[in-house]
Amino acid sequence: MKRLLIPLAILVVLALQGVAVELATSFTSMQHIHIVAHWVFVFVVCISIFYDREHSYYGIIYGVIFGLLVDIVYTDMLGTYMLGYGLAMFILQGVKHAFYINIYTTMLMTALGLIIADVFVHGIYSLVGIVHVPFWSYVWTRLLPTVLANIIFLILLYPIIYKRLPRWRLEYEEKNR
Amino acid sequence: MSFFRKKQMFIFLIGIIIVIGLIGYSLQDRSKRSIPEQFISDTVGWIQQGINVPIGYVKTFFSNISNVKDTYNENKVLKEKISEYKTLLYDVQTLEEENEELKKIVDQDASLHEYDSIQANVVARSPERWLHQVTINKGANSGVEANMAVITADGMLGKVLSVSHNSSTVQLLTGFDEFNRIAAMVQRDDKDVHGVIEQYDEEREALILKIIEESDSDLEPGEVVLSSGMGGVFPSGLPIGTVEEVIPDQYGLTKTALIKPAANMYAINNVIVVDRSIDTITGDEEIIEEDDDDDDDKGDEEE
Repeated sequence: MKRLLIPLAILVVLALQGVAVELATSFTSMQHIHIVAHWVFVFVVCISIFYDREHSYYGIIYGVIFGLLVDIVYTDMLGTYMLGYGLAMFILQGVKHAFYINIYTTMLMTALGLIIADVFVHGIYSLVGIVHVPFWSYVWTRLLPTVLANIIFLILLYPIIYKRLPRWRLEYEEKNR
Repeated sequence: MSFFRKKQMFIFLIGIIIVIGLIGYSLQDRSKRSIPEQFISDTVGWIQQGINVPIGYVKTFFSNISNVKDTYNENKVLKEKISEYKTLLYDVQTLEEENEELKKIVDQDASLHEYDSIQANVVARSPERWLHQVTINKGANSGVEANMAVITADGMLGKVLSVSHNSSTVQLLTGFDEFNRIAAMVQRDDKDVHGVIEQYDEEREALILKIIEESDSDLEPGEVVLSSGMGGVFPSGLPIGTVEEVIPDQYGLTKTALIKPAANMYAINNVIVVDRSIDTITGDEEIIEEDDDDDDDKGDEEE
């Protein structure tokens, strides 16, 4: 049952991030700074860090699947988030063994992943012609606020999951032994 | 190990091919979503509606408080206005009756101006802020179709981009590009000014209205721009925005006006999806056919 709980939780976060963005824009009309909510991605990074073993790839698999769901639900252009999240998770998978895991390294890895994913999505969108924003103005008005806002979400999420996910993994492994 | 690397490379390449295929597929002009997409966005929309119920209570509570504060002053103003409206109402009634009689005479039952409205609420906004899309809680089951206009009490908000069973995606005016044009006009006593809203200019934060048919007098800042209904999709008479500035275009041949949208794109709650009463024309052919009919009529008269 607890294995199903994780995808279900990501699905709820997926729904929640749209509602939150709508609320945030209706209360504060920030027209010059644009924040993209990558909550699903932050959650997936946490799963990769706290749930994955050396040779399991839940992070990448969830990244690809829920990237595709983000595409379907919010963007109408399929494939960009799927590959963006998948690629970022793939790189993190290689990087994460170099770190001793605590909240600061988790924040660092999440920030790295967010930058890779968001720059990738921006690259695809400017390639296709949806956005025409110079790279450095994109970095200042979109990338930095986006990374900061999502790190705040990570800080809220961290206390809820940093003990729970390893425990679920252990329970699951004992059951399958 | 080398086998593993090869396998990774292989999966990566296949992934890229799939993604390029998907992007190509989604760049097509799709008005209806495929069935798995509908299923997923319906499921997520359903969760979002659930989340929105308690949020709605909190929101109405706070807006009620701020409403109570303003009530006394508003009440004064409104009382004065009501007395004005009474005379206006009488005028409108007589005009409506007259209008209907005249319509009967010319045998016309639906005009570009009429529409049915579908009430809806905004439940989510696309976190991908490049795209300027919001999700509303009404879909095909309530009669929403792609390309219908969406308005708020203030004016036009955007159009329906794609429809699922119980939710649909709305493209806001701020995300309109050269593929989403609106036929627009400014009403004048003698001769209306017609034009086409071409796209939203992010730098100037205004819609760009290209003026096709100029009037003798120029547009002035503050004038209200309405949809003209000549684009074949939207009904006429929906307020789009007000003129901010009139500038010559880059070749100096025509003039463009910068339009500030009337609806607030950032604080949206209740919206109305507008279903045009007269049949929507999708292709250019039918317009030509209509023109032909007109010509025939003229021919008959001449005979």
